[in-house]
Amino acid sequence: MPQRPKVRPVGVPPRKLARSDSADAHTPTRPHAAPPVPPTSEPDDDFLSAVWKLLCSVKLAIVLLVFITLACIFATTLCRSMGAAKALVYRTWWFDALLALLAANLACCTVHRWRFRFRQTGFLLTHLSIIVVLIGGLIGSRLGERGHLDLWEGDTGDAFVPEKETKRIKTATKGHAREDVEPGKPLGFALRLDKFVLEKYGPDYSVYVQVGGGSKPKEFRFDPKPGVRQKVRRTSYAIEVVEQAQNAYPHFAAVNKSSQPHNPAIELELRDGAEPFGAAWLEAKKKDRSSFFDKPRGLRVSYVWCSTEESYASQQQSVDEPVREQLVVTIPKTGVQKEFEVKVGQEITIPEGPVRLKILRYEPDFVIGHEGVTSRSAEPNNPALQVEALEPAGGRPQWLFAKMPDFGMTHGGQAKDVQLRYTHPGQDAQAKEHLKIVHAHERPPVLVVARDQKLFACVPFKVGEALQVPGAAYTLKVATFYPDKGEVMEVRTRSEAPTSPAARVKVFGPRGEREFWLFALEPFAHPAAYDDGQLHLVYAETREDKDYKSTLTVLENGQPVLNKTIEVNDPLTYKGYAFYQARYAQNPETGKFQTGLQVVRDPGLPVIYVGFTLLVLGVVFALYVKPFLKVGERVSE
Amino acid sequence: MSEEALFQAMCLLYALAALAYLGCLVSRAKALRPLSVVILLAAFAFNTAWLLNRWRIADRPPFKTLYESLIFAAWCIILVYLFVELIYRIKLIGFLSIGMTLLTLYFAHAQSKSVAKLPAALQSVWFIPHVVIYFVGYGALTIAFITSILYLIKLKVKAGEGEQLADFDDMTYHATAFGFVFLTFGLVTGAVWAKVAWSDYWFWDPKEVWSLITWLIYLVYLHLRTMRGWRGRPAAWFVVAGFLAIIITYLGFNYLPQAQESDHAYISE
Repeated sequence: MPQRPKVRPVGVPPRKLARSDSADAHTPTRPHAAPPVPPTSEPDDDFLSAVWKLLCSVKLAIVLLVFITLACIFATTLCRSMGAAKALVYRTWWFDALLALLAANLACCTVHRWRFRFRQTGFLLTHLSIIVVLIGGLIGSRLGERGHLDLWEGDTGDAFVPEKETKRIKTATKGHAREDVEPGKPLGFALRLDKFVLEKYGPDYSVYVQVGGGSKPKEFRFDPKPGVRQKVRRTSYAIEVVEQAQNAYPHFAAVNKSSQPHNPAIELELRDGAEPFGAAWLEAKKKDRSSFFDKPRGLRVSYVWCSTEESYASQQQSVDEPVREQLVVTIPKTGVQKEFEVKVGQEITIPEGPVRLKILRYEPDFVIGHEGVTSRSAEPNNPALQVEALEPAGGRPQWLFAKMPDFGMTHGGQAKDVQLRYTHPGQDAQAKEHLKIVHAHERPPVLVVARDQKLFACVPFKVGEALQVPGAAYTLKVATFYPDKGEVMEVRTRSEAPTSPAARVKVFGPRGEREFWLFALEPFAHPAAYDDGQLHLVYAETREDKDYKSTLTVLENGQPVLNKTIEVNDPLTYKGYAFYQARYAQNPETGKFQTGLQVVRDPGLPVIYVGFTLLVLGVVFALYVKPFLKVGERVSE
Repeated sequence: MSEEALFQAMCLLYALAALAYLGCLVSRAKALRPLSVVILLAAFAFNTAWLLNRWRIADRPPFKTLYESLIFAAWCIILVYLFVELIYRIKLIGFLSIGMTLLTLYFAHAQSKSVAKLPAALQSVWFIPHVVIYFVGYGALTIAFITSILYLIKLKVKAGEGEQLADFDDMTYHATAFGFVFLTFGLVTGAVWAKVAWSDYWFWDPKEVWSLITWLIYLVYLHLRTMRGWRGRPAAWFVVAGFLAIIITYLGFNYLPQAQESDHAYISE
C-alpha cells in the first residue's frame, strides 16, 4: 500500500502550509493571518499573535493530550496507591495547569475555526462538551461537599461527617461502618433510618479444596459440576463431584473389631409395653456416650464396665453419687484444691495462689453458630462456663465444658498455674430412676436399679433377652454386645425436612483415586483428607450479599416530608444532597443493623451531564453523520 | 449440550473457519469463499449459544467473570468482522480476526469457569449497555489494530475482484472512528453509572484512568489524521498503541499496583 502522497495545494506558500494544521479540509482565514510583517512592527503584537496561533493549534492540543496520557500512565503504573497517585499527579498544580491549558486551547481553537455551518456541528459540540465537563468538574471540586452518615435502625441524623478530599471511600462494599464522634456538618434537615434489609443469595454449595499445609495453604473453590473432572490449578490433583444429594446424612453403623474389651458397648432397647421409647448404643469407656436419658420418665440408664472382680461386685451394690454443679480450682504447685458454687458474674478468690477468677457466662447447650457462641436449647445437654482469670492476668476468657473436663486444661491460657474443672449434673439432676448396667469380661450383665438415690434391685440378665425392670412398667433389652465397638460410616438419604445437602467427591492424586462424602451442615465434623495429608475437602454453603436496602424518612422540623427505600444504584436526593447506600454493619449481640450512607452534594453535576450529552451527540455527528454529509455536499457541488 | 461441549464445538469451528479463510488466500477455488463464511457463521452461532446458555445457567448477563467476558469479547470481534466482510471482502482481515478470536478463547480457556453471583453494584440497568457498548467498541478497535499493522508493514492486497489495492489506512480510520464513538459512549455510561452506584462519576480508579488513557490515544489519532505530515504512518502507530492500552485496561489491569483498591476487578477465582 503506497503512502498518501504529500502534495502541497497549488498556490499556497510553504511557510503557511507548515502552520495550516487545519481541523477541516477547508482552511478558514484567520484574523491575524496578515502578510509577512516588516521587522519594524511592534514586538508585543507579534508575541500576542504567536500566542494566539499556538493556543489555536491542533499541535498544542496533541502535545497536551500526550502529556496528560503520559501523566496518567505514570500515575497508574508507578504510584503504589490511589492516594499516592492523587497526591503526585491528579491533584497537583501542574496536572490542573495541563487541564486548564487544554481548556484554553479548546476554547481558542473552537472560536478560531468554527464557522456557522451544519457540517461543523460535530466539531463544535465535541470541543464545547470537553470545556463544559471541565467546568462542571471544577464547580464540583470547589463548591461540592462529600462525606458519610451512619445510622442505626430507628436513629435520626441531621449532620454528616465531611470527608477529606484525598481519602477515597470504598463504597458499595460491605464493611464496618465507623463510629464518629465529630458533630459533623449540618444538613439543614434530618434523616431517619426506619428499616434496613439485607438480602442474601443462595444458599449455594461449593466444594472447597485446600492444598498444602503450613502458613500458606492454597485454597480453591469449585462449583459442583457432576461428572466433570476439574483440575486443581497449579497442583497435581483433580477433583470430580460424583453426585450431590439434597438430604443425605452420615450414619455410623456399629461393627465389632475384636474379642478383646477395648471399647465395650451395648445396644440398648427400652419399651413401654409394645411401645419403644429408647434405643441407643452405650459405650462404657466414653464418658459422653456411656449413658442415656429419657426425659418424660426421668429415667437414666448408664453402662459400666468393670475390669476387676472387685469392682464388678462393688458396682452392683453401690448407687452413684449425684454430681453437683461446681467449679473445681486446683493449683498444682501448692496442691490446693477448692470447689466453688457457680454464679454468673461472681468473682472467686484464692489467696494462696494468688488466684482471682471471674465467671462470665453460662450456656446450658453450648454451640458455636454463625453469630458466635449460643445455646441450642435450654436443656443442659452441653453445659459450658466461660471464665476469665483476673489474677494471674494475661489469659483470655476460656470456655469450660462439663462433658469434656480435660478441655479446659489443655486449651486454657493459664493451664500451668491453675487448673479448672467444671462439673454439672446435666440432665442427671432430673433423673428419679437410675438403671445401671454393670458388666465385665466373661461375666453376665447385671441390672442395678436405684430410685431416689436408693438401691432397689439387682438382677443379672442375658444379652438378647428382654427384661422386665423390677418395679416398673417397662422392659429393657441389651440387643447386642460388642467388646470392641468400631464404626463404619454409611450415607443415608431422607426426604423430609430439614434438608442436609451433601456431595460425593472423587479426588485424583499421586496415590490414586479416593472418594469422600462431604456434608454441608457440619462441614468440619467429618473432615475429608487425601492420603498424603496435603489435600483437604469441605462442602459448604456460600451466601453472598445480594442487595442491601435502607428505608429512609426525611424530616423537616420533626415532620416527615419524604420517604424512600434506597439501595445500591438507587440513591435518595433531597435539597441538593444525594444519599447513597454504601456500607452496612450489624451488631452481633442484638442483630440490629447500621447503614452507612455516602452523602454528596455536587452543584456541578447538571453541568457535567450537559457536557456528557454534548459529547455523545457531537461524537456521533462528527464520526457517523458528517462522513455521509460530505458525499452529499460533493455531489451538490 | 453442556457448556464444555459448546465451548469445544465453538473453538473447533473457529479453527476450521481460520483454515478456510487461509485457504481463500492461497487457493483460487471459487467454492471456498462462501464455504468459509458459512463455517464462520456456524462458529458464531455456537459462540452465541454459549453466551445464552451461560446467561441461563447464571441467571444474569454473561459479563461477570473474566472467562465469560473473554468469550463475549471473541463474539464481538467476529460480530464487527462480519460487517467488515460485507463491506470489504478481504479474506486476510477475516483470517487475522479469527486468529485474534482464537487467541482470546485460548486465554479464556485458562481462566476459572465458576459461575459468580452479581454483587449489588452490578445490579443496574447500565450493566448490559455499558459492557456491550465497550466490547463492540473493542471488537471494532481490534479490527482497526489488524488493518493498521497491515498498513504499517506496507502489505499489498487486492481489494475484492478488481485490480485496485486495498486501502488499509482508510480502513483503519473507519474502524477506529466507528470504535471511538463506542468508547465515548462507554466512558459516559460508565461515569453516569458510577455516579448512581458509587456516588461520584469519576474516582481516579485505575480502570477508569486506563479507559481514559485508551480514549485519549485514539483521540490523538483522530486529530493527527487532520494534520499533514502526520496523518499516515505516524498516526497509525497510535492505533497500535491504543490497542495495547485496551489490552492493559481489560486484561493487564490486575497487574497494576492499585488494582486491589479498585472496584472493577474481574473475579477470577
